[in-house]
Amino acid sequence: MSLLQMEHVSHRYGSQRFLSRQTERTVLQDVSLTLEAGTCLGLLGQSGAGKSTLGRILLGLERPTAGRVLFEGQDIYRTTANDYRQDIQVVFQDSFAAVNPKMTAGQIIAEPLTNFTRLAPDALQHRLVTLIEQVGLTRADLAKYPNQFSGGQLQRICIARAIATNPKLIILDEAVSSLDMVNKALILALLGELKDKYDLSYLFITHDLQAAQALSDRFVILDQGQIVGEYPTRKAFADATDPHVLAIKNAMLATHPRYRTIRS
Amino acid sequence: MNVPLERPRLLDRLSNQRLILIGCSAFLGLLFLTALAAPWLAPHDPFLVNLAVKLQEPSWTYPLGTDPLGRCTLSRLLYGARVSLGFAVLIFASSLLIGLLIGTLAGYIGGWVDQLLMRFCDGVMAFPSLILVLGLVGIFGPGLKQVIIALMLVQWVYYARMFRGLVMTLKEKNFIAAARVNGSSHWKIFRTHLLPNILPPLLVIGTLEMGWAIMDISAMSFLGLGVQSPAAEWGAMIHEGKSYIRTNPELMIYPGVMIMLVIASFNLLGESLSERFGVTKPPK
Repeated sequence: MSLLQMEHVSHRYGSQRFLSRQTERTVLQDVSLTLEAGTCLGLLGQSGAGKSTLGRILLGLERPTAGRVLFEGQDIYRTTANDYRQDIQVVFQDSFAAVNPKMTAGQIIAEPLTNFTRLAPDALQHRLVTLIEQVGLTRADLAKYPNQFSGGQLQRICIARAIATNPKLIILDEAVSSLDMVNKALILALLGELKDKYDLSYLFITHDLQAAQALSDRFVILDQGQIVGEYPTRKAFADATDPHVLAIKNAMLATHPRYRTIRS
Repeated sequence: MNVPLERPRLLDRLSNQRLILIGCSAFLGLLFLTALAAPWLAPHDPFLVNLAVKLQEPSWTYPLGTDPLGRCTLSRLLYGARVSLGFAVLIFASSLLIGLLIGTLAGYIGGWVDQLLMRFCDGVMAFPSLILVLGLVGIFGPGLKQVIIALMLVQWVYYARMFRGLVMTLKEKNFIAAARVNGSSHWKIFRTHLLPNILPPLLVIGTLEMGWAIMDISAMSFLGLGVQSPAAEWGAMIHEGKSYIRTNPELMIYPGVMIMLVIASFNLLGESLSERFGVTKPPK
């Protein structure tokens, strides 16, 4: 049994307004994909392809208009149990918007812990220290507020929050896209390290080819709400000649103008 | 180039935010305290009619003189503060609660719930508060209760609209989504994520609204719709002093000055708070 299965998921955004015309927009169309435990699936696509909506559906935030989402064989939109919430966590792109500015780092990381576990205050504190040191920050940072951190540090706090309850799957929604090159590499390294340590699975949603290749085992290309390519191995993806993949590859800057690829 | 350092002018110095913040809070705080302690501070019974001492000049026994019925003006002013401030707080708190509830619901749930609630708000907003008061007074007779209910029914709409807007902006932020993913209940999200982030604007609007509420109560009482004699209330006191404007203008001046000072303090406080928190005031 796969960890996560999406079966024929379609989603439409409809803006129903009282006493006015209804406008609809199809964002996802008949998307099916599977994710095996302990792997990282790279979901690539240009902006507007429906990547983030797909992420929100998997997180249980947006009920799809059609299709099923199975997590460990259970339809997450059918069960009344909220168990899956503990097992699927998320890291968003903009770390400043992903944390409450009125809460300290400690409170931010403690939120899932207080919701899902019953830890005594000192055990909770101990866990918080472990978590924040795990992501490369210090014990003293727990008392700081978000505006005292840089984007990269804040993203580490978001990662600490995501791994706090030992989830099985983390959805990385453009998690490194707003970071500078150095921080991007560091965060990617951290994510890889955590994946091996806790046997995590990732769904890596990104438009960044390099970042996707650094972490993913399998690749899926999404374009205008439809899956237009699936590559089961890194090699298959590297060798792909599909126009959608080439479009993403061509968008990369060459190391030297001489090596510029000819755009199709 | 030598530019002489100019001394800040009086107006600039007056607009020093810190000074205003401290000054106005101190004045209003003191006023609330005196209102609370009125029974101990007032030199006389504010309702005691004694025609032998009517329209007295200020003296040691009657620091601000007496009114046409021989009642102590200072005592009446002190007791009047209880009515004005107390009911302003009541109106503020109740309309705030209704507005918070409806606005947050509309903004958080969205969709048709939002549409329904907001169209209802539009309806209430389109209805002038004065007409509502007159209508209620027409049905139930003049009295403070009717005025309070009418003002409450009108005021909450402004809060509701403001909170809806604030909650809608916050809802788009990913930390609300993250909180859902983290297993927080809607109630917990409201308590820990929404409320702390809408508190600063709430404080600003609240302060400005308090001024309005006091003004409204006094205006209604002046028109004879609100507080009925012999009860002491600033607006009602102006009303009572009206007939003596030529001989004893101070009967109107004392309560008038009090109303002005209180409203000005609330407004200045609101302004300086809004600047401090970087909150833009809603158009009224």
